[in-house]
Amino acid sequence: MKKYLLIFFCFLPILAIGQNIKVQGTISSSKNNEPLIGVTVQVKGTMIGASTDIDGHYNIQADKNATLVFSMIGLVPQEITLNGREIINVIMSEDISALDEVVVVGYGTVKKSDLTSSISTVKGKDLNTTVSGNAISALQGKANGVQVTSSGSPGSTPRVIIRGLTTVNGSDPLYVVDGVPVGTNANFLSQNDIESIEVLKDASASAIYGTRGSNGVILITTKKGKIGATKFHFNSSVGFQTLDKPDLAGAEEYEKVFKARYTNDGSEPIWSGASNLTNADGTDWWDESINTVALIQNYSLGFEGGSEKQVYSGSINYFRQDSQYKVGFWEKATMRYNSEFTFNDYVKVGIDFNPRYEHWKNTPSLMHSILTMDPTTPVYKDASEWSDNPYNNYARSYNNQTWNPVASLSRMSDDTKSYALMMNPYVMISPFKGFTFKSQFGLNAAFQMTDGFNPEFFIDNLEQNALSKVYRNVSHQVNWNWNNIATYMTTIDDNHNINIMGGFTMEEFNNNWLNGSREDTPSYIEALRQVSAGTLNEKASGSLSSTSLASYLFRAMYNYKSRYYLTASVRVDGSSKFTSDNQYATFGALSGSWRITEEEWMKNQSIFDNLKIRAGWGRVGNQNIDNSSYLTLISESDYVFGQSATRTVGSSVSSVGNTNLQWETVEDYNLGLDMTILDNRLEITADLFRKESKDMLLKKDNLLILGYPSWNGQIWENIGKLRAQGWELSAYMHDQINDFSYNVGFNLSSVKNTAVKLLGDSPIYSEESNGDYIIKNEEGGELSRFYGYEADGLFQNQTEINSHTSEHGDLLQPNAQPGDVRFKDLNNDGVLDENDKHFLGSAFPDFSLGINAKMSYKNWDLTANFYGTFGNDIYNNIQYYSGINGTNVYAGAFNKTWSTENTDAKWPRLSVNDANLNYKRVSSLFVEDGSYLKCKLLQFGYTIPDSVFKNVNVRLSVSAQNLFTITNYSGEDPETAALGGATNSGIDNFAYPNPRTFLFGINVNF
Amino acid sequence: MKNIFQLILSSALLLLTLNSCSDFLDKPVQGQENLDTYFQNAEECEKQITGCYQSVFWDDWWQIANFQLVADMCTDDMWMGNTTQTNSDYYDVVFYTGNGHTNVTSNYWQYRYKGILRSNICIERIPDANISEDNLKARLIGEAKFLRAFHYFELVKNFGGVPIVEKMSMPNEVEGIVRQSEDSCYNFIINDLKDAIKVLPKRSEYSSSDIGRATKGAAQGYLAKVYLYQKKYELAEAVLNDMIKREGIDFDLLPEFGEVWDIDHNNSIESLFEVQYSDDPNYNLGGRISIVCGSRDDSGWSWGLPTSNLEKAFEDAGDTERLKWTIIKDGATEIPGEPAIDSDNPYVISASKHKSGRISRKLYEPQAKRPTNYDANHNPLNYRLLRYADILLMHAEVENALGKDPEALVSVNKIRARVGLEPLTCTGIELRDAIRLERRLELALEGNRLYDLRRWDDDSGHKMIADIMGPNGTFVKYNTEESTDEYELSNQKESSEEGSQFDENRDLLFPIPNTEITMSNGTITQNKNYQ
Repeated sequence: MKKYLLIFFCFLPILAIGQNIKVQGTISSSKNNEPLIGVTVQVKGTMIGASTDIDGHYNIQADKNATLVFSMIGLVPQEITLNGREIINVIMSEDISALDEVVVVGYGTVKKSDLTSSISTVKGKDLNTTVSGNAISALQGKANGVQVTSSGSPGSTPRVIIRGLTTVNGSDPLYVVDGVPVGTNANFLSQNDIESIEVLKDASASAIYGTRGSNGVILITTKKGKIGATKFHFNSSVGFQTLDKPDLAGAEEYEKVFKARYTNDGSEPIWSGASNLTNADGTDWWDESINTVALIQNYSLGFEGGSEKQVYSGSINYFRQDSQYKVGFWEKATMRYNSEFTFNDYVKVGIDFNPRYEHWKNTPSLMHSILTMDPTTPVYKDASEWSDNPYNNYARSYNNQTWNPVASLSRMSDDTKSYALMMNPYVMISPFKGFTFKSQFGLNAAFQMTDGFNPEFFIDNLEQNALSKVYRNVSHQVNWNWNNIATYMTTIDDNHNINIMGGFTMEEFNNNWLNGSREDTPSYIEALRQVSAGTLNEKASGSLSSTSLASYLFRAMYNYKSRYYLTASVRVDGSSKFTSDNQYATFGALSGSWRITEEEWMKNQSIFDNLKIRAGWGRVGNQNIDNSSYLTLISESDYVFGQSATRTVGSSVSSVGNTNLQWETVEDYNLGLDMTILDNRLEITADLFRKESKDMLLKKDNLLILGYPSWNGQIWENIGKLRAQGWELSAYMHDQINDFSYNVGFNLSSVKNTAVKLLGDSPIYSEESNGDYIIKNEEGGELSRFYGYEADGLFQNQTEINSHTSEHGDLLQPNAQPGDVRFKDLNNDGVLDENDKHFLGSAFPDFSLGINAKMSYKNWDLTANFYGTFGNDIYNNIQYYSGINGTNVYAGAFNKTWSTENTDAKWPRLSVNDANLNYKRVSSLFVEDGSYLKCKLLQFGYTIPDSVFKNVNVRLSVSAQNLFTITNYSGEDPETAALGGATNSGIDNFAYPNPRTFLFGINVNF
Repeated sequence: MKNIFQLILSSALLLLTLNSCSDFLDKPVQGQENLDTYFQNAEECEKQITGCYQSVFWDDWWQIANFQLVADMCTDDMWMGNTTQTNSDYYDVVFYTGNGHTNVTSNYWQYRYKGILRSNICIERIPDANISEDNLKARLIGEAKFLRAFHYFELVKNFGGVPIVEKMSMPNEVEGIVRQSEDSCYNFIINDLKDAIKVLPKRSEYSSSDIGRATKGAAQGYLAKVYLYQKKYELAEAVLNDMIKREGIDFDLLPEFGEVWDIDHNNSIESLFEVQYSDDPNYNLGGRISIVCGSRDDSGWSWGLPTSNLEKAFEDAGDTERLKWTIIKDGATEIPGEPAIDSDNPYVISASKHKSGRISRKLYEPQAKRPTNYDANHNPLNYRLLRYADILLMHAEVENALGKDPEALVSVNKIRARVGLEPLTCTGIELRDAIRLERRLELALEGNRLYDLRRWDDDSGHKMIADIMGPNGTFVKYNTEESTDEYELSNQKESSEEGSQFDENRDLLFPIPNTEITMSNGTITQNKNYQ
């Protein structure tokens, strides 16, 4: 905190120094009259300062005419001129205006009111209300313009899209923790340690991260020590998760549907199970594989404190989430210690030290098997058929090809452990006023080991594994960076405020890995699940992948009377991923703002407390490609020579490099408006933006005659252009009325992703389904749109089929029968073919909405968070009504499909051959509106009055996460259904849904 | 102002420390060599040449190897055969549907050009490599040229004139590339083969550990074949005569026909060029084609089964020796070279799963000689691509075409004598047809017939394949009207009308992949009449 204040004070004018006196006093809070600890007291215009002790007391030497500045984050700063007084007691009130808050920007900090670019800030305390394995999941709906889509399974990383998509190579932003760029995933952080998260959304903010800024940058600041007595915090949340069980058919209905498919086609059912079943005869595969409740736990013990010489903070955290499956969990134990020593007025050193341990068993993805498995099949074979190998004793599906999900679960054994350390020692030197040099070395290292065993088993010819396999994969990663940043701040003539930053950074990323495996262990027993136990096919491989980045940074910020602002930044990045000719790239940004309320002519109005407009432009890059993509690599290609057929080691080109490869560049424009009205109670922010990539990096197919080794001759090329364009609006209202206080915010954003240029010669198709593709990405069109036939209801009788003809009277659907889907001949050419397909819907939403409310009355508080997306479609690929290939169906499917007794059904008739391709064709039949509004969090808290435990503050809470969802979507979870990449989103294949979670929490501070 | 000076000074100091940046940014790829620093010495060049050989059949059955079967499936010798699984990969070419995008032709095209790239890289780089032995350097380049010619010949046989790519290129360097005429492709191939002939050792000049490499004889054999395909009989004759002069020294017929495809006779004296396989279970360096075309009742996949029409051809010729070494029939109580089969334990090729109840004996591996994990790339039976019998038959064909029937008879009768058939005495057209039949019987199921049928003219000026295929083709008529074969008639899951959609104006070549046409913006054109 202190370093922020230093910067802050550097803006203050210099005053002459005269006769010194000793001044002292006590500072207390306006709220409860309690003494305030850690308030900075500064002699205005000098470096002389002090801070209050545990009793709120301070003393300081100052000129008798000096002005003292009292400040502390979150409180309204006060300036008091001494006029010879020696005792100054101050009552400080909370700062209702957040304008003076300090915001972390790339390689520095800035007052919120001085921002010229678009940055969203979320405080740790607003994230911690939600318990999740990944702190970024909790960001959902809280940072405007940041689309977070969670998958519910333990250890999963949410999909984060900041202001739309400008590349097909992954949308993940860059995460920077306390100045250390850690890559595109921050799963390992404990959410309890986060002080604040800043999202750099536009290029004028993120250009300082150059080649990795094109998807936006998320800056995470962990908690730091504060001057004052040691304080402890203990938080614990324990709860359980549940999934909504889909309503599946039992044995009786399954049999009815199965047989109807044949009889409707006039053939004899090929039925291999018992007949005339009742529902009681069946297996409930969901119950056999899924636990009703799964535990989730989060504990944290933290402390902080410090003196003027040293501040420190630390914590120990443990988190564990169990999978809803009977196998799978993720746990992490993290520790953090942070301290900063102030040697003297010139030198400070500090360190963050953060070891951690993670352990997980992967959550299976067996939803599809569970839903499609034949309910007439028992879990196990008849006991008379059992063998010594327990993996053999499971039953094979009687009527379809699905593998027994309970058997699959029993074979799951992947187990991964990771031991890691992150630390970033730094030194800060301030040799003269306004100048600071900071050198920080960041290290992020991890050792990871995965053990796995695939047992030998035989359930059936088509469900077996002939050779057991045991494997171990180990890797160790050592990533380091060295940041050297110099900052100089000065004010000239009281009006011209200048802040210049320059520096250079070096980063290196190393991943060493070694994988070994053998097959055919003598037995499946636990003790023999080691690589050495295998007897056949010993295999080992390992290598090191290493990349580096060296960069020069420069930024200048200028403002005139805090009225007109201008910021310019440049980063020159050199990357090992490109040839020496293309190694360096320069990224620049320019932005400005105008605080209208600072104008003289605005001084007399009382509507706006703050009114500011911002405009920014910038260029950022993306280098998210394979290492050495510019090199033509050689791999082993063996052959056999000799009369005795001897293996001869050979080599061949295994990938062709593109020496012309260069950065992908994104150009970004932003226009923003910030205003605060109603006595600082209502804050409104609005932004308009447009981002466009060029030279997008794409692995492109090439002419086969080139003979490139990769499939279809793919090599990395700079081709393609995507555009994301949209707006954001957020409002935040807060107030306190006697014992009742509230703050309510909502944010709304809209972005449209357009493929301006893709491969040039052909669209990008994705998501194959029955030999066709569901998604077509076409130049000039929106990304991830479903493409197929338009279903136009069901044929009710032969007459309708006969009248669905070309102008010459030829039947358009000669294979159709009553109860089949009528497909539209959209181009009216008299045949139903490829040319009758059209776009059926789009996977990305028109807008997303987050609503966050917090209310408290006396000791009670209530938190509610809502998140939703609107105008997006989902291709519901799990319409289990057809029973196709003998799969199970939803309960009631028999009555929801068309038959002569049930002619107003939505779903076409049951058919084994599906000659009309009702269920096989990609059509509008499966496209649904995927809009939803989800109650992400509802939390009630009660703080035990101070009178009960002296000096110990205790808060109890109950909360529900993902409590309810308002949607018309018929599938399990419209949120996970929307997942996918830039070119393949929005297809519901029944991924792990976000569980409904109920938690009990306790927070203790002392 | 002083402060600003200090700032500038310290910034300058920072920049100085960055002097070593270019080193820092140099992160050579680990665990893998790269082309820029390769081809330094003889060993690296030799390894790359080894890699070139690997691309002859690649490391599995689906890139190239199964195409040997596909070519025969398009003739009267072979069915697709498998009637228990979807045949969509082969259907379009075998049924001659005219569909321009088929996986099997597209894979073949793709993997041949991948092989050409490997050769091109060697031909470009080896001349500059530091190899002290000039002979070795010349030989390595010769091997690469031989293999490049081999790939291009395979392409021209199947697709007609193709784009010629002579060096490793970036996509922009081949913009606007067009297909060369068949003749200029052949000239390119001929030049490569001539260069190879000059430098490649004879078989006897290789050490025994180098057996399997391209020899002078192999290059000559292919050169003769290229001339023959172009009907340049005099040129072919010269090459073939030179080879026949060396009969008994560099190459010869094996004494027994049954030895030709025997595992124990890999790289025999009859062999000119064959795909080298090993049964080492730790590597995938063996073949799988025997499984691909094996009986489903014997762990095979039954793709590519002999027809009764072929069996009848053997019977009509009184050729029992080659019949028994070419076709195994369902219920056989005796398979030559297979002691595991007898009257108590007959061989099963069940009628319901197999179109014809027959499999190839040539690719059959006796049970005792199979590797432990049979259904894997571990089978040691080398695939014979060119053998001396083919040279003799080409010679016979060439001499007959040049009116030198006595010379022709000498060569063809050597082939007949081995399998106990009476020597031919006929001449002229009659001899021509007898030689053609001899080729069918001797080289049956070895991936030759399709290309012979495409190049041979009948007496009315049509290609012979047009007499056999098409609605009135002899093969189609045989299957739909004459055949009494219980297997083929009863199992119509693969229709006996196969071949009836053959169109002479289209089907003398396979379609090139449609994606090549799109991606080249039409500078590469499709073969005529394909969609």
